[in-house]
Amino acid sequence: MTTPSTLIGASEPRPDALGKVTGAARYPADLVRPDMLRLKVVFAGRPHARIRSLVASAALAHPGVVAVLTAADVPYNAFGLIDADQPVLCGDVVRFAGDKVALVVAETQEAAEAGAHLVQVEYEDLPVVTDPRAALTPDAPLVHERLGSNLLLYIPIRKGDVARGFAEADVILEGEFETSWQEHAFLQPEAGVAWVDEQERVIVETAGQWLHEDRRQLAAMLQLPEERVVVRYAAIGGAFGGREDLSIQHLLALSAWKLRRPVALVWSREESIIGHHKRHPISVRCRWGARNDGTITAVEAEVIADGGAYASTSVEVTKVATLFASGCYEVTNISVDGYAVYTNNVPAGAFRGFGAPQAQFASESMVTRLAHALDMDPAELRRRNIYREGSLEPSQQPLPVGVSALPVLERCIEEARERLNYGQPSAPIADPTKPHLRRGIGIACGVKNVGYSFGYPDQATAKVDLYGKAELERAVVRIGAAEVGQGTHLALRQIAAETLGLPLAKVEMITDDSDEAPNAGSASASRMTLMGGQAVHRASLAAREQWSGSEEYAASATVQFRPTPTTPLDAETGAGRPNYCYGYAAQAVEVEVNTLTGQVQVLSVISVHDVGRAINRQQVEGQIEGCLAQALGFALLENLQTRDGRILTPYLSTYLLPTVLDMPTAITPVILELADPEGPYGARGVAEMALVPFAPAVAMAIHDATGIWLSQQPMTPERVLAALTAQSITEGEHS
Amino acid sequence: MMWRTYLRPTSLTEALDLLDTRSGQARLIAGGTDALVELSRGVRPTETLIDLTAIPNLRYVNADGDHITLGALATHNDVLASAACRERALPLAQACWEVGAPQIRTRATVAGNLITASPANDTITPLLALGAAVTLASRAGERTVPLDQFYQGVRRTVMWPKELLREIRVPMLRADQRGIFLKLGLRRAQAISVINAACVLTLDGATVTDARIALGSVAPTIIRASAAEEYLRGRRLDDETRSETGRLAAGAATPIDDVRGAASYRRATLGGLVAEALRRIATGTEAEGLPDAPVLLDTNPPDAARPSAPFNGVIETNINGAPATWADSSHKTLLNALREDAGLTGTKEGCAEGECGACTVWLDGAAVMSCLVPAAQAHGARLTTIEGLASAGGDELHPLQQAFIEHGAAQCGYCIPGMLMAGAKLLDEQPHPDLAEAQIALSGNICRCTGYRKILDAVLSAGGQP
Repeated sequence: MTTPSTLIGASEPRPDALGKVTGAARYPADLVRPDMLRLKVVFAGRPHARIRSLVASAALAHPGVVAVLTAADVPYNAFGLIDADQPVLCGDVVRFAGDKVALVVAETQEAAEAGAHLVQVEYEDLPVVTDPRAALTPDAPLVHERLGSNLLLYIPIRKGDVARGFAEADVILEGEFETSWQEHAFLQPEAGVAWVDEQERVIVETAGQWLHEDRRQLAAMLQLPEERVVVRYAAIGGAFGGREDLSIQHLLALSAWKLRRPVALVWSREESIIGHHKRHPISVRCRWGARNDGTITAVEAEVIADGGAYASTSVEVTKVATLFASGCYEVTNISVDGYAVYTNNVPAGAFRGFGAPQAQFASESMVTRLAHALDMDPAELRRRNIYREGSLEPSQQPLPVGVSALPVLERCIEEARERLNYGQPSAPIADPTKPHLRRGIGIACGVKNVGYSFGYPDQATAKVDLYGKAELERAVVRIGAAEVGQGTHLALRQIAAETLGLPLAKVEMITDDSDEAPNAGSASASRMTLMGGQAVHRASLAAREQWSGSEEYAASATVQFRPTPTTPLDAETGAGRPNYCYGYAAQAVEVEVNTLTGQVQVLSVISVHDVGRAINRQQVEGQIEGCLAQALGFALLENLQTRDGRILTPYLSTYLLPTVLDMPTAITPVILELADPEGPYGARGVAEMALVPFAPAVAMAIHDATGIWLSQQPMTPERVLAALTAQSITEGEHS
Repeated sequence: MMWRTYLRPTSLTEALDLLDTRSGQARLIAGGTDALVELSRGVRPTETLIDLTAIPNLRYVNADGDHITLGALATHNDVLASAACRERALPLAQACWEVGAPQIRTRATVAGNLITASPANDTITPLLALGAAVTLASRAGERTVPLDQFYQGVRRTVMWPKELLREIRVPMLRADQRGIFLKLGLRRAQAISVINAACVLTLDGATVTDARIALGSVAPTIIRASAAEEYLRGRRLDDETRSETGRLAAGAATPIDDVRGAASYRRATLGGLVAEALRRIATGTEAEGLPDAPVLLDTNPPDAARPSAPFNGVIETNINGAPATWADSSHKTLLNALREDAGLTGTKEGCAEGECGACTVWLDGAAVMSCLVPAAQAHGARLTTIEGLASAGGDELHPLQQAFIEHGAAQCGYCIPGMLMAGAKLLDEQPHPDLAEAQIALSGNICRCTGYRKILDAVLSAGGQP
């Protein structure tokens, strides 16, 4: 039995691991029963069109087809996390290829599929806009006609005086960077079941990231009080932001409510890739100035995010990207303009990193280029400008207390010197028989907020019940926190057990039912250990206190934790207090570039993180290592291709994910524990941070190996080779 | 429903008769790794599948005299397991090693790869360079077609609807010959070729006396680089010759743009790939990278002929040691039959195209991706699923399951059943795997959560490494 006082930091095994290694764990598709009606979505398959007519009679005549639901069947036909601008089923206009126009309900999967083919939709194609810059021109086709513009958000940040900042600069560099969509590709495609219970409640069992937000949106769609909707999560096969938006939950709820029979929907991988949102493509045009002493004097940038057809979380992602256009550096003069734009592309929304990886691909690359221009070690230039305690953010307010960017960077430099010989003149060619293989080293830093930003109220609520006789014997912790794979149920349980002085086995967690567990907010923004952890910690303290003062053999406490409030950014200057906590990371990578093919292999990664306090060290490592795989995919491999708004790579055979052989075997996660004042036992979030510095670190390493700069993500072999070819042509012209 | 009727002849004659009577209305299936993906996408649709895997004496790799012969059912893994192939048909073995993942290689037949006839199919290129020929059989008799006359275009061959490819005949590399296959893919495992190339050179000392260079994924069919071959004759493999040969080879290409790469990228890399192939031959390092004992994830020896139980539409199988009967599953994949008809939902679907490995189970001792196995192939076979990996009753976990728990290898857990079935099969095949073997064994299993580090740690520790 574990001694309670050693629980914080202990690599306790996950309680869900046994079910997961034996096949007993039940994921949403495992809940489907033969007596359930099966659903099949009729997708638009075209990026922009007016629906002239929809005829369901042939589908309804097909044996086994029970119903064909359309826009007219949806009580309130709009949903969305922030703006409810997305139809559940489109009635008049489709705005991207993955829009849904009908839902076929049938006795069997075969009948549902056959029925879906028989739904006849007549479209009038409308002009398509897929380039966000083009979408901002006055004569561009409108994605949402009623809005009169494709501009979803404009946010400026103005700090100091950039004109003066550039006037003071000895070196000024300009850059343009492009990132593309990234697909979450959680291994478990969307699935779920739903029914109406004897109390006339709609029950939806599925996978998601926030029970209570799913419930809110489903209740709004069905025009029911929230108590009449219950959302339950089965085992969740990964999320990464990709389950934040509703994808199938509303389809399940709608059809169960309409037909009063149990229903099931299981998406194929293709439907999943077509049907849910992606990471935002973001283009950054920027100008950076620095003095010869290494002081960065000015940053000017334009940040344009392709939001796709619907709002999703674009507004928030774009604000994050705009805020981080100057990276984790204190710069006196900043001017950034951020835009989120509607297009007829797949909607973009939350994905691990939430705008930070895109923005800092640009900013970190610029810092390294500035260092080269100043003939300075890129690590040294970072050291001179990096955020410190008390540094002012671009929003002109001091950073939240607990700024650990510098110690994280220092540790990374130290590890890189030791393990990768960073800073030593490297042998240009490792193997003389293979002169086309060149090695290089790159470093980069990163910052990402923990928790909600820009005045969006953050809270997590937990309820702790205690039971025993003479002694406290056991506890039941209720908290609606989604276990998407990150290990949050274990971390929260360790916090409860530690706070209550109970062995882990005596703490029961109730977490997966919106009716049984209070709202903890989303499993996103690296926030659950901090927010959910604080709620559990404080509820445990309160219950324990009650227990001590009571003769009853029971105690119960419910605590809502709210962090230090944030504020919206000022509409003209961006001034404000955007966040209450940040996570800081720094990485060093070694790569090998094949100059004949453009292939880049990552040989080694050092990833340094301040996690405040590791609640479960093994799980923290797991978050870092797993995030690195997504970061490697983002940097080098994952290439979602589209043409006229249609996704050309809707399979795992065409949208390539890193395999075990693509990952370096030399991965060194370094965990620093510099306690955060907001977090339980000092813990702060870690889940997203490894995605932030990785791509620019790789870009620098490729430059170190070959002299070329890549500014388009992913840095595919084709793009690397094109840059190498352009370089050799340029060199040829100069020689 | 991807097909309605599933026929499983038990003799070649019966198969040829079925083909004859259902001419053009049926598709042959063996490993199913291409056929099931095509059928799910509506490519070459059919109502009837004729399964060749119950026919005895079609699965062989024989070395006789100066030829290696592959039966219609010889798999990529069978080629890899053959010392003769690794030593005397190296380019073919290398191509087989680069196809898919172990769970695909243990199912996919070389004959099937030839017949799919995509210009990106990896085994065509080396077989063309080696000068292979195929024997086509029908009720009317047999004919032999050299591979360079076999292809008519993208996914088109000279085969008649009533024919099946019975045998591939591959001239062995002679003592004065050297060969190599190289491939450019977008990732290090499970990658379809952007381009590939195979070179077979005849040498007199350091001088090339004859050259056969085949290029894949650069034209509607695999092509020969005749100008490059011509140029190479009589020359030594110095730097300049290698580059010029590459340049000439690239000139033969007429590539297209697709999702794997632009035509310009293919042109730009082809010369370098060919030159690199020649450099490897010149330096005697052409076999580099192909292990002596490749990981197969198959502990059933290729010659263990399974008794062919006649199949009448009812699948009689054995799952995790218990007999099972599926009366109405012969139109399904094994994955769906396991999940829907056996109620064994531990086996997961992640892609339904053999890319993610989440559906890995054991079929007669081989790790396979059950999404690409017709359920009827479980007839008369033994299946092991994740539910059967622990000892009977599940009281005692498999050591690898225990190691996964201890090492924190499961995060979301969705890939884990497949990872375990691949990893545990590796431990059956090689009780003390090294890191490279563990990586190969798991190369067909995608994990999106862990970055693989803790999964590899678990496999290595279960294999006895500290």
